[in-house]
Amino acid sequence: MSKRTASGLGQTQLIRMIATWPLSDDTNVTLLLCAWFGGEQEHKPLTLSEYNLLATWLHQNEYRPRDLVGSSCIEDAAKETNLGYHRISGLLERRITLGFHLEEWQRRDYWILGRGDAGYPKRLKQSMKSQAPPVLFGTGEVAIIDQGGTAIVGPEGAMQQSVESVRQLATFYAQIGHAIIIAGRQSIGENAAKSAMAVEGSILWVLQGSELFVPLAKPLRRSRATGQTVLLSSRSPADKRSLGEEPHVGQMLMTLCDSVVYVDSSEISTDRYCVESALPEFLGSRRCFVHVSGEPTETAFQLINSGAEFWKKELIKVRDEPPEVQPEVIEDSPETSDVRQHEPTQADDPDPEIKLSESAKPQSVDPEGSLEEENASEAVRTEADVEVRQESEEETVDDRENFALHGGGTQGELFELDIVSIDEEENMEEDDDEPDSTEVTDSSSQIDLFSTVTDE
Amino acid sequence: MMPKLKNAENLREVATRYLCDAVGNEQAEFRDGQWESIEHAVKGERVLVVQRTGWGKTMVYTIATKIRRENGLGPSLMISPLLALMRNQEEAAFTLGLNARRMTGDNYDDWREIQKELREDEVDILMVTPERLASGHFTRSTLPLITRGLGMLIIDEAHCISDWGHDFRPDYRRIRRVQQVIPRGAAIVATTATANDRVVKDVQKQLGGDIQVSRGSLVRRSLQLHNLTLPDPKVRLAWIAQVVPHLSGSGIIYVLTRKDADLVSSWLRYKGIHAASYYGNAGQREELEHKLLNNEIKALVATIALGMGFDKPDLKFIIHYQRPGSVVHYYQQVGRAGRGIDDAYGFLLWGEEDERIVDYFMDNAFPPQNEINQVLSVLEDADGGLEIEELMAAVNLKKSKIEKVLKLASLESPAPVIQQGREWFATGEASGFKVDPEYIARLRGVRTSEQAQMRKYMQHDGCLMAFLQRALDDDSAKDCGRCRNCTNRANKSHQPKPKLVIEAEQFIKKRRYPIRSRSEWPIADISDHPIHGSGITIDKTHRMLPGFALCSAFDMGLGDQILRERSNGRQYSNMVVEAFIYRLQEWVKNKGIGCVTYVPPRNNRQHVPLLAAAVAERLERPLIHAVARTGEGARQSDQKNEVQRALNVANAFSIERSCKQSALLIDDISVSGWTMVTASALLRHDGCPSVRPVALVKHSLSG
Repeated sequence: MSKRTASGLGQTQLIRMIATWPLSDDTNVTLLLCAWFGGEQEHKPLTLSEYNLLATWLHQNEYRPRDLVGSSCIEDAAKETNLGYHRISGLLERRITLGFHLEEWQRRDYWILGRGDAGYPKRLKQSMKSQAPPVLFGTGEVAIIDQGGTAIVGPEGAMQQSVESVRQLATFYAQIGHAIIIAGRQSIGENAAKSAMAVEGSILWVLQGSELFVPLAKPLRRSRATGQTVLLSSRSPADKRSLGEEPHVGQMLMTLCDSVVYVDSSEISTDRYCVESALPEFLGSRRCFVHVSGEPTETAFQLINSGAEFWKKELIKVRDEPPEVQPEVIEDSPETSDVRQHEPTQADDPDPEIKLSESAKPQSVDPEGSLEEENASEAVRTEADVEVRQESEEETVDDRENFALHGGGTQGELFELDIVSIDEEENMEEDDDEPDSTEVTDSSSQIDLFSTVTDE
Repeated sequence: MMPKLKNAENLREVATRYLCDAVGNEQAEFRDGQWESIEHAVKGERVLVVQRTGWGKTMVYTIATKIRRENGLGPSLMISPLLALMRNQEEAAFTLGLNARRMTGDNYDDWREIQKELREDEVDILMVTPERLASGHFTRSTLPLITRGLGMLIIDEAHCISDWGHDFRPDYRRIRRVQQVIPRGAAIVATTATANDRVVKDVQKQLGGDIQVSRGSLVRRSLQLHNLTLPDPKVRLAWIAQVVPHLSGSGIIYVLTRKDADLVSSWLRYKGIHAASYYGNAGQREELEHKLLNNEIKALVATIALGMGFDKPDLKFIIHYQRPGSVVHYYQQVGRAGRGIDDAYGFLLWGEEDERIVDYFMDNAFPPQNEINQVLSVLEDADGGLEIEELMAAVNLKKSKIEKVLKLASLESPAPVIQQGREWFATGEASGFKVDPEYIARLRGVRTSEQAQMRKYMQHDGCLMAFLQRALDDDSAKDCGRCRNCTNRANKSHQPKPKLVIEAEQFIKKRRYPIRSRSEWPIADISDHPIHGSGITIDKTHRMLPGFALCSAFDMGLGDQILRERSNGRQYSNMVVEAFIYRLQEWVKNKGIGCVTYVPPRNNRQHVPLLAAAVAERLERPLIHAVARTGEGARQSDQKNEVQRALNVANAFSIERSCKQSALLIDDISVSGWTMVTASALLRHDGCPSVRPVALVKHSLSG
């Protein structure tokens, strides 16, 4: 079988990573409004529902997000959305802070895409509508995101037998041209990635923001460099909040996949990335398989009863059709550069939040974010409902922040290296005598997750 | 974005009030351009201030910060390469009731408190060095403490942003990119005292086309400039010792290397002049600055580390023992003198070694591609990250060269390497990473033309101050009427007294070069031998005491001669042996030396055993052939870094005979000292109560 990338192209015709720098003014403002850079206390970044509310107002009044800077519309916007002038202007005042982060992200070769940017993954826009993250952060081949693929999920602390199943499944799917879609830093994802990379398969890895910061081990570096891996998150790499649960990871994973394989295991799981909890809601729209290597667990039976199928090799199609959402392929012609300069245009790509918000038309600001999308289509409503729950999670962060900042998820069995936070490490780097600089414990700094993806 | 401001209609009045408070003068008024610059900054615009030192650039950003803070905006971040400036800033800000704090390498003890203040929004101006920013630690750990976000960015020495500037500081590349991605509407104040038209235009372009520029005259009327040709170091030393006592007040003597700082300061102290070298740890440096500020010291002998940002209005003189790399550097350094007094002096001496030293700095500014490849390929092959010592063990390059590669590479965007904690990781960009040769060539071209301009300045027979002003594209340049050329003193003799020259020569020859004791191996687990024990620490019972070398390689002739004799002869000449013994006889007194031993050379050469035998005979101590070679090993001078050198000699020796008395351990060349450290550890492990190392030559250039 010939090896194929997720984009359906041979390796010699790889789509180059989209150049997103410099960011558009709209994306800059969206970042200022929505992204957490760590330490925000006085002015909390906007939640998705709050941002949608503001975007709706801007659209109705024929403004763009960038107009919030340097015009008086900020006062009207703040007043009429009830978001508060001081909060909006305070968030926008984070420009210099953002500049430092942007420089670092650029140096680390991340891309950043706002919902209004031409390169923003169409699959996310089409599936999530107004619930799509206002800004996406990632590194690697962005075109993979739109290709779909098979998500491999299961309990985070999977046992050896399940791990073996994960490896075999990932190899199998990669060989038949499916991209492997995985969530968070956990052993399932890591094992799936290792196996897929070994056969030069494509990987779409959905992460919690600060997990993007972990340096990549050799095989993953290569895979990323050859356009076969993309890592992405809806949260900023500087967002160090550890919320105990990361529903945005599971939501995005389920949104991006065509089908999902649940690797059954009797291991007790914390479902930190909320994949298991997101599964039932996607059963109607995603083909779901349960892979069982021993006695099926209760979770397996529940999934089967809800419409999932037991995994059989015969049921899986070799991927030979181009994916539904076509990436923009850069032709090798003298007229076009092989690196596409990102240029958002309203004509090409009307701002999705504005289009959607017209149909959604929220009537008032709901601090719990529960009044969203009443008029949306059924599919959207389903997703919006999930989003409402996600929003609620986000809203409660404030109250439990002290707990959450110190909390952490479970660690996959391959993630057992030095349990040292980045801050501690960097203090060592600066000087042994340096005082600790922050109380925030960054779960992602339990490096080297990606370094432990060793050579095959 | 123009923030909503209190008292927006009478901001100038408010600002003038602060100015009066700051200078303690009720009648104080802004200088040309000062208020306008403040206004731009307060409104959230970008401004570049190019004004001579002493003009009041500090006032621009402190008053702007004061007004912005009173309007509820976030604290200012000031990036400055100059610790001295930061210390002055703390005091200047205090007069306006602002809390300026610095997080630098010399005040770790205060960091916890500063972090607390940052969290509670009590810091008004936070000051950091560009190097600290570059580590990434700042973005991840300090920025999050500033809960309101930074209100204003202050970039000191902004000429460094330009590649055309005289100061190439790699870390400014990051600052350049940071300010390029900061969304519009942010307040940025960039300041410099030294920038020509090309640099101003470049900085302007980098900071954004709509930036406001405030630029003024650079002339310093109080300064009397003198250029003196004194190629021989001993003559220059004599000249300084002759002239300094006749100058009132205190001053700075600039040198190009630390070694020269030590030479000049020890010579001046020998001549009864209160002088000190300005380097060492930051605490010592701060103490020395205070002493100079309070006129408790006649002269500080400093490298370029002191000067920029050091503010002493009554500084009376600046002497350059060697000429700096460019006219702009010179202007910057000499401009420290005479800010607040009517008469001050700048003496520029020219040395025969200057060109070589400046060339050395230029040649080593960028690592060659093969060194970049070596470091990156090791990182690429590693599964995870590597610490610097692990890299040193894998790459036979000097530590400083490895660090230079990492620094350069980590500042690229996207970067081929990233640092996380102590470890360095390759990224996908590492493969095939190349530094743009045109970029390097352009920078070299700039440096070469700067040197040419400096030579031209040394030979200039017109007004010296006007030359400096024109070099900086100052349109107001005209003859100063005070410099050596304007006052027709160019032909007068400036040679020092011959007796003083002879004394300086003897002083140079008598200097010792310390061989320091070591408490740690460069990496852990060097070998299985017990001396390499557990971890990195050298067991106290295995350490050697401090010793010395007779001279330095390439130093004043003797070093060269010893290296020649080592290569060409069968043994060292009587002259060398006698010079060594002469110095040892004095030094060993009261040190309880019981016997003499030596480091056996490779290839059974007899230079060192014969030298040791001569020393033992004259010191009347027994010679013990204690240490033996286990094998030939590689040449130590071929090992380019400490780790490689320590590994190379780790198993090179064994103990043949015991030394039960305190030993004098002799070698001819000491490069990094690991040979002597290892031999001493073996001797002490075998029961020798103490070891003092001595050598003929300290070869520090290759170390």
